[in-house]
Amino acid sequence: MNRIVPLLLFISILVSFTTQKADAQDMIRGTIKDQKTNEPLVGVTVMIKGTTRGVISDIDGAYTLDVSGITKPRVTFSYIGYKSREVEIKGQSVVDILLSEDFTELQEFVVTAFGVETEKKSINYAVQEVKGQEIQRSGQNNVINALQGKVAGTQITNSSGSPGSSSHILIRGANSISESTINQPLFIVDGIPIDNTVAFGGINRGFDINPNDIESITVLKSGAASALYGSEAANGAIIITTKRGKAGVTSVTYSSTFSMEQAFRITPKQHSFKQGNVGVFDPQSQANWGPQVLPGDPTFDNVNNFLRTGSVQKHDISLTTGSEKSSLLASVNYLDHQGIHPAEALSRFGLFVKGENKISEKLSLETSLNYIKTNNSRAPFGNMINAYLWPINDDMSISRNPDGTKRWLIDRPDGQEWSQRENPHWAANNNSIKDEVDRIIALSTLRYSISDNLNLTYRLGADISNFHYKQITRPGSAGTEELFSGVITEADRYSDKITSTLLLEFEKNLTEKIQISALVGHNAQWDNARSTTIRGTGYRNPNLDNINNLSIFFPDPSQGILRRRIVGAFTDVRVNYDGIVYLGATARNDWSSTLGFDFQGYFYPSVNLGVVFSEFLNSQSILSFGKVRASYAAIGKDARPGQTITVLQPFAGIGGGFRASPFAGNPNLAPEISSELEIGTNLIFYNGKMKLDVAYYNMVSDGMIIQSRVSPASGGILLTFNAGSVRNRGVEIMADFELFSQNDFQWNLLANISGNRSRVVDLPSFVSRLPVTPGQLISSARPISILGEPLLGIEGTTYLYNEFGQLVVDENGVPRIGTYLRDEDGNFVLNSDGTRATDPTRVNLGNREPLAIIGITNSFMYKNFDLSFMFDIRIGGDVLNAANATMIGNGSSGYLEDYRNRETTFNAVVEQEGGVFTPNTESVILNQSFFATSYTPVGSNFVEDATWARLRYMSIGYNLPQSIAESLRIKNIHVSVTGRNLLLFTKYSGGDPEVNYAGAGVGGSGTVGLDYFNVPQVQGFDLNIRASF
Amino acid sequence: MKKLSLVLALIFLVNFGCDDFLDVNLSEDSPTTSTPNFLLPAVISNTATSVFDHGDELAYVTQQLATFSGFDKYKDRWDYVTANRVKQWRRHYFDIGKNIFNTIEAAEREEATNYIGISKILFAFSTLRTTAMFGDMPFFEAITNNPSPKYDDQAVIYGEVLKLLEEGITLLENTNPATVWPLTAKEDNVYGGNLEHWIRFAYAVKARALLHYTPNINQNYADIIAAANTALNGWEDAAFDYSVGGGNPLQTNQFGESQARPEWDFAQNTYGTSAPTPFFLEEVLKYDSENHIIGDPRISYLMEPNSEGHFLSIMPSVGKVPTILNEDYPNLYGSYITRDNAPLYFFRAEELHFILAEAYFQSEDKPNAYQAFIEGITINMDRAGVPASERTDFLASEHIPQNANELLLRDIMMQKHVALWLEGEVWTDMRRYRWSNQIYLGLQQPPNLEFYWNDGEFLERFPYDTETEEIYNKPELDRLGAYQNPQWLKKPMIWAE
Repeated sequence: MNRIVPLLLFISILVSFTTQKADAQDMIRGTIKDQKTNEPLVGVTVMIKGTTRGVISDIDGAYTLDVSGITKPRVTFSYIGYKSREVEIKGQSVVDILLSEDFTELQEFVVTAFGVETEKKSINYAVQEVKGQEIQRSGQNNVINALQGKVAGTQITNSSGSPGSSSHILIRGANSISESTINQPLFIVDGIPIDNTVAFGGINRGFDINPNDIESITVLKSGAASALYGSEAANGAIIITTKRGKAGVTSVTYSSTFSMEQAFRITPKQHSFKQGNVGVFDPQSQANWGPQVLPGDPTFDNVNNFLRTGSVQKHDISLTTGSEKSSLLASVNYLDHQGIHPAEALSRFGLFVKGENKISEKLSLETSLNYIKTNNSRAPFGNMINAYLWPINDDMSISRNPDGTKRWLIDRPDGQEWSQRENPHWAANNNSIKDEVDRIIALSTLRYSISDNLNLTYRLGADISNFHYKQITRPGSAGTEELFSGVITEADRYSDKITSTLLLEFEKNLTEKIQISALVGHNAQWDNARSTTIRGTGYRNPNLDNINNLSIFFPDPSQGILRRRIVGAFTDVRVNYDGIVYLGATARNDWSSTLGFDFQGYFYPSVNLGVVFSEFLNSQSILSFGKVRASYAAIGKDARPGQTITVLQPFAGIGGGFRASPFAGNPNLAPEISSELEIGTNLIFYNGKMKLDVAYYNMVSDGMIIQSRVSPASGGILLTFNAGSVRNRGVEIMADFELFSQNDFQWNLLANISGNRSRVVDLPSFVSRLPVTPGQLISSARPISILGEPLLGIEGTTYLYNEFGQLVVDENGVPRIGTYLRDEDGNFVLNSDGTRATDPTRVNLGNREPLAIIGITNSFMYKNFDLSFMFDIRIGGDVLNAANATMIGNGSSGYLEDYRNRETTFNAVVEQEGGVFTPNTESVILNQSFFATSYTPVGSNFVEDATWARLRYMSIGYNLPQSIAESLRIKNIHVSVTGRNLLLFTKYSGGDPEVNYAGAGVGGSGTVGLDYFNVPQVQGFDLNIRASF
Repeated sequence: MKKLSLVLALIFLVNFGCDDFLDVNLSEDSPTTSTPNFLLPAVISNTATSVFDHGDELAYVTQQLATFSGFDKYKDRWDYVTANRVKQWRRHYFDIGKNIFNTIEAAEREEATNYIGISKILFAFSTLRTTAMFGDMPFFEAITNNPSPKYDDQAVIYGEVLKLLEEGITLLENTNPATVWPLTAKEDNVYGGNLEHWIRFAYAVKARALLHYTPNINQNYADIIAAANTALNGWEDAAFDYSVGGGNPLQTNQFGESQARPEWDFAQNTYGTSAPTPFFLEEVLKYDSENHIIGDPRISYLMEPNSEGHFLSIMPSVGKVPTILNEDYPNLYGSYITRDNAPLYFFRAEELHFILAEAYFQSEDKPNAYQAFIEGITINMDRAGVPASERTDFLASEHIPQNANELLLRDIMMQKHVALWLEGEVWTDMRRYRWSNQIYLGLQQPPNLEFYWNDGEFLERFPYDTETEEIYNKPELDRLGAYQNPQWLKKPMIWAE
């Protein structure tokens, strides 16, 4: 309060002084400065209260405002992070203002619905904002990865270390169980939804947004927030606000980054045993159960020899300029990323232009255009398998014979050389998947001020992209006879998303203490996608990778056209009582073309309430601000296009014609409805030095849209229908501490802690488990959703344990597999010989969702230096190490280094007749046959705890002293060094436990936590220079 | 506020045209409907697949064949409790049924009574085969997009099969081929659009269906004889002609040597690793295994002996003798059925003759029974490629009764067993006669069945698909006592109780 009193005093003097002057005048002017530092404040909004007339202060903090025609105008001065001031103009023409920093209130504005900025204090649900600077500091090229550890309640998994790996983001868990429903949040850029889907197994398309163009990202986690965006935000929303030109400032910024990166952790491989079986060398074998390497035998580190050092270079130039009437931002960016896998590279070129123009006092127009071209060369999922399983006695890097022909691992005189392992070097040099994307995101926003308290906004957006996919498998490839003769798949996909949004905002003070704001809106969305795929074989010229060079084309139907339209009408009404009580309600009705005719329209409301209880506390309290809040929301979610109809497929049998498609349409498809309750609190202590936000949520999704194998007696094989229920609940804690702030030194700590618990409450009819199709890689365990268990489950086989928790072995000392069968009364089922019956089927083995995710960011500023680092801690959660299962089966796992041929007597018991157990005395030798029959078939051996602590990045920066910069005619030069993935502490035995086998394109519980031969995650070092002119 | 209401009115107006605006969930890349001529070929071709699945699977149950390994969960151990994707279930409802419903719907639009009639007859044909495998099953609520259709009684389904046949016959009899939607060999691979033949086929199916109820439920032999004779009057075998195929797996006889597998979830024949059973070789084909003396000459036309000219057999669930090479067991490919381009028989003439032989025999008309019996053998031998001289010798041999009075029921049934080589209908015969050793001489229960099989029990029915029926129709399965119950496999059909 000490700082406020003199300010108020100053203002009152100022006001009283100026009132002595004459009557109404036309213009007022003045400068606005920081009360503490006396520095001019740039970009302060100066508005005539109750009107839309206003200006922004220029670089010197100066402003000039036209107050003509308004009697006794009240002028407000507002600036983010500062207390707003209000001054009544009684004839004075110069109004100089000092603004003081505001810690006592959460006077931050966050972008919520459709570009509407809302004061954070008034929001009754969890919203988290990440500043552009934080995003840029993380050194990530994919904007989603930049959010890792920054947002409580999100589980972000980068699939692999490939430059084009997709990032999977779950906000408050997954709420749709069906593989065909993607649980990814909606992406909004400057008020329009954009496409973040994954096509053809490539990268998630949110990647196309250049992180350097981002001003801030708001993450809407709650259903209450998402209600305004409709169905597509049922999994939350990532709201990106791009940078904009500033009034009165013209500046050019150039930023350049160079990075090197290398494989971070590689799944351990044994280096002691050669090719062969049962300890005998066999050059015809693909297995690595051969004899021990003898001294002097050459061995090769085939995995490390295959991977290379990756590199990144990034260049960004942006120009901003602006006047009171208009502003402009233009940026050009280029990214070139050479991955650690020699076949992988990615480049992105972006051109972004954004302009704002005030056409008149009442009308303004903002238009932006973003063109992005992305080229991505990548290897298929799991392609590292051959390098990992390649025998150590063979030099994999020799992929050609001296005569230039392909060198195979195994000689196959029968002409079936294709039926063996592919040489990764050969594949990297010859085969590839190339994605080429040309994308335009354009939008235009027209704002019209109808009256002092009524504003109209209309926004038209378009996200248009053209995707070209080409997969080349050259003649001579291994795998199948078909691939051996060379196969090319080429696809073109055009997609567009056009959105139209009309918003009417109303704000009025009903009484002195009661303020009401209301928003009514309408939006319409058109989604179109069409793709054509051609696939053929039979190269005419073996060296020409052109579709016209092929002689045989596959007769599969190859065109896909999808169309969707959604119309929504919504309202958001909020009442504020004296800054103490905030009451809000939203209502939305959507009409989606993807649902059954009678179910196309669906309504979902929300209510929320917040009370600033600190208003009732002693002002001396260490608690500067405290609010409790609660919200309840329903969220509707529509289906994918084309699920309500049944099509005919071409019939390839004799007579031709058509046959029924196994995918049966469901004309009665209804929306999924989720409901969420959230309660939380915002607390600010010590005048803003400590901020705490805690939220608890409980979300239940019902009537999920599931595509499942149903009774063929229905007339279809796979039917899409509404069934099942999933619950997610969890806690989020967000803490922002200013630990030290004095003179030249500042230390801030930002911590995000969250944990989500999911549970499959109900499944359709009598289904007890829904496996994830792309996750079925090994037979002993697989990702699955099991009734009554967490959604991101794992099921598999286990060793047999008795009721005392003892391992049961057979009479030879070999562990038995399965579980004891019990009848309905819980009694053991007995075989005819009196022994207990066992059930060899798979049981629930784990949860791929962590118990808790903790992100801790420390930022230090000392004079011109800044240092920032983030620890990312994950507690609990399992990873299915399917790679190790395969490597053990093949004899190449690093685990075998320690255990192969060891003789062991298991601490176990042997079952005798009548439920009697006697101690095991037999020893077994852990040889190939033991591993084949008693280790790899047991899924529980490969389910591992993925707890980790990771130094995700550390960045040290230095601002060149102003004097040096100025002598170079540069406003500012900033140099920084960033290290990514610097440390990882984990007991996980494989590579990096941050893994997602098939990426973000898989819906339902997906393949997060499934480790199977993707390109390893990388550790990188970046050097960045940023200069402003 | 005036402006506000204007905006609201605008919103309302935009939404007003919603029905059209939202009417885009259509397929632009694939048709959703067609004229019947583009739909019938898949029905007929899938019927061929279904007949293959049925004959192939049951050849092991009826002990025509056994596997080399002796360990096949289904073919050897009859461990069907956990069976999923039971082929016939899907074939009937989806591959055949759904396409038939689509064809009928399209044909009704075009008033193409020829297509409707054939569709109804083929649906009856498939329904009969399916209910004879499973018993109760969905009929009235089937193929209505209901994932949990109610199961109907088997007796009701038999009634519906006969009704479908009558409707089909009536439709075809009242069709003037010149005035309806054209039906040619392109659409109708079996009869080339000849409706007379389809009517005869319908009577043949009727005779087969009526025979199921004998001898245990009724003795309605007069109707069976009438239906079979109507069918035989101008009969032509109902067979799918693969010789016109282009060679892709869907256009290849799945009984053939290339073991065609049109799609990943189709079954392949495993005749390369299968051999005839001792029952089939010694009892049915009268082969003297000890002295390698041929009884029925068809043995050499159904299979090829080893280099020593011997025919070796394998007892079901026992597996082959490890010391004997695979190639020393008979080669089952190349017979009149097991060739890539061989016709795939929906219904063979000899079956009609054996139906007649049985019906006459049971109605005490031995002379007609004997005549039909000899006719059945003769036609089948011709079909198998047995030269007339060998046939005459066999017919005159001790293996064949030489006059009507010597004819026994077991002669008819054993001869039918070989005449219906790889045709699942023989399973129904064995069940109707309760696996009687008086009729099926020397038939033994496989020795190494899954534990829940007791002595003297045989497979009476197939389980409902565990992957779909146990999930979506569990209450129905519970009602029937069919849920995860091995005893269900032993429960006789209504006509074999």
